[in-house]
Amino acid sequence: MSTSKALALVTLFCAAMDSASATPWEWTAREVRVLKSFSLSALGDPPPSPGNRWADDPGAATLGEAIFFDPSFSANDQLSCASCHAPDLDFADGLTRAQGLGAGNRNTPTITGTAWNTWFYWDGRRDSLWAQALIPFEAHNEMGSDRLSVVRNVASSHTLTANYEAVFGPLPEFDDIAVARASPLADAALRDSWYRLNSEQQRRINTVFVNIGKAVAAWERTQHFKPSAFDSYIDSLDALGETENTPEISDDIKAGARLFMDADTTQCLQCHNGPTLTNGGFHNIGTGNFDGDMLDFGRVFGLQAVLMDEFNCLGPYSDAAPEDCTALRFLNRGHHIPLEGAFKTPSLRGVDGTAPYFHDGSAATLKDVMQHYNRPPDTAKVGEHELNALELTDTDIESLVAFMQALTKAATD
Amino acid sequence: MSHIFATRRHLVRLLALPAVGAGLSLASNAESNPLFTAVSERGHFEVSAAPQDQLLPIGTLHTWTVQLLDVSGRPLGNAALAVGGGMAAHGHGLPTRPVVTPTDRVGEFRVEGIKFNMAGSWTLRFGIEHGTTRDIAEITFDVDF
Ligand code: HEC
Ligand code: HEC
Ligand SMILES: [Cu+2]
Repeated sequence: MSTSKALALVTLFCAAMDSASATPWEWTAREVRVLKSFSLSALGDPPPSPGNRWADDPGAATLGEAIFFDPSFSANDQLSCASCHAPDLDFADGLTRAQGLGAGNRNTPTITGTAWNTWFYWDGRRDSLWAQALIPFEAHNEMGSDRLSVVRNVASSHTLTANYEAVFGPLPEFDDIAVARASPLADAALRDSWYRLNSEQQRRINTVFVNIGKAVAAWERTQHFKPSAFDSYIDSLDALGETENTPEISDDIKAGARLFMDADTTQCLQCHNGPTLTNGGFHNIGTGNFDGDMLDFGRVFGLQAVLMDEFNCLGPYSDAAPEDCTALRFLNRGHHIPLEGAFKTPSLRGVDGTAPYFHDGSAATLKDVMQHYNRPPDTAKVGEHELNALELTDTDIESLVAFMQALTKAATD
Repeated sequence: MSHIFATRRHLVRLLALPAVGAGLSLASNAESNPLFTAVSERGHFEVSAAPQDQLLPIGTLHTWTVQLLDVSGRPLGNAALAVGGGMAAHGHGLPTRPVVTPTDRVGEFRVEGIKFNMAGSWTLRFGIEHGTTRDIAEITFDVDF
């Protein structure tokens, strides 16, 4: 008999003496290893953001926080990043699809833990938090502004100017620019204004605009995952399983964790693994929208977009040495991996707080998500996807949901 | 329902080539890094490949050193190497595209940007070109948490 079996029997015996306590739960050695690989304590600090020299600068974070919550950066002075990434909604918005100045066609993800992402947006069309942060200001259905208004807005506030200059040095003048608004991405009139500026003026505006993105990113990087009830549980395990320090959690949660790790019953661990519960990659799980108004091909266009982005890690506004741009250097452009209908695997930390689910908000609850995995859609309708139909019972589904809720519930100590 | 892009069916076939199990061996102990060796499919070359880390971590980029040898075990000069791979059981390729650079040593290459994003059986495929001779060697190994 193995030591672990023998020990388990002893524990079993002790438990039987004490009729109040339930039968102890037994994990295999591999299960303990996989559980430990989920622990937040295995995550470490956020990876460096080589393109952003100010990524970990506290002054930049202070400025970034102010901008994140400031509606004066939107065209109607009413919308900020926090309108859609609301702190009391776990930095999401609770909506099926985002609502800004216009209707969006994707679901709003949280910003918590995004410091650990390699790719941003459901299709990964940006490769850094700072490059991502530049988009919402100018998106016509989000904050509807333009980059010249955004930089002028900093110049028009004493506090913002002081905070900006403390980090980035003197804010350049824009008095030589006659127009109030200009952007290469907005409507035809604003694009026209932008292309009438000379390249030095464009670069001056872009530099301040990019610094604003880098400041916002510095603050977002401080929004870390918080330890969950499940972290307390796994951190208490030793190589043989539960110990006397193991907090009580329901057998439902444990059964859910077991199913999640069991490659014979589910495939979850292929895509949702490590302390963030995502492999950071793009997968086709049959959620693409290949016809109708919500047409969305996912990664196949995100990949083109990030390569063309002048604010990517290799671009002129990045602080990175080219060899440090590993995501772009080692980018697989579709060699034996699906791009069409593929979306970024989201983290499952905090997932119970950010319904609805999937890139288009098409699953209202975690139970609906599980039904999708149990009976994936017909590939004839959604294209070749990576899922096999599962044979989960209702009890199995409840257990998996309980497990994901435990990954969300705050640790109590 | 039609799609503008090809499906991934073709790659399942590509990856399902018989593994060169006979030519593959793995030597490893506590001190040294794992070392994989394989004879190429048509017997022209030998490959030995070793990750820089002692373990094969999941989810991070790692660098490997690959040594090409001729049939008599001598380092193979003036050869070109291409590296690919994936998971035959899941029908997908590597999540990244590794970059291959020759080192100062004859027949030796540094392969950067290899990443395994899940547990299971992974295959690395080495395409070798030497003069007019081309061959492919494969190593297959398990990666786990
Ligand atoms: C109108 C609502 C709305 C506003 C305003 C908004 N966002 Fe978002 N945000 C979204 C949606 C929707 C997505 C996903 C869009 C997609 O994938 O195409 C998103 C994605 C993100 C992501 C990527 C997260 C990930 O995991 O990939 C970050 C980071 C982010 N937003 C930060 C910001 C910042 C910073 C601002 C302000 C400058 C902002 N957002 C303003 C709705 C909004
Ligand atoms: C082949 C990769 C893959 C597998 C296997 C997989 N997932 Fe996912 N998961 C994804 C991707 C990709 C998305 C996002 C899809 C989208 O947005 O359209 C996702 C989304 C989710 C979401 C919604 C999260 C959110 O914020 O919207 C949950 C919950 C989830 N998965 C749980 C699971 C569970 C539990 C399993 C096992 C039963 C599983 N996944 C198996 C790749 C995978
Ligand atoms: Cu796989």
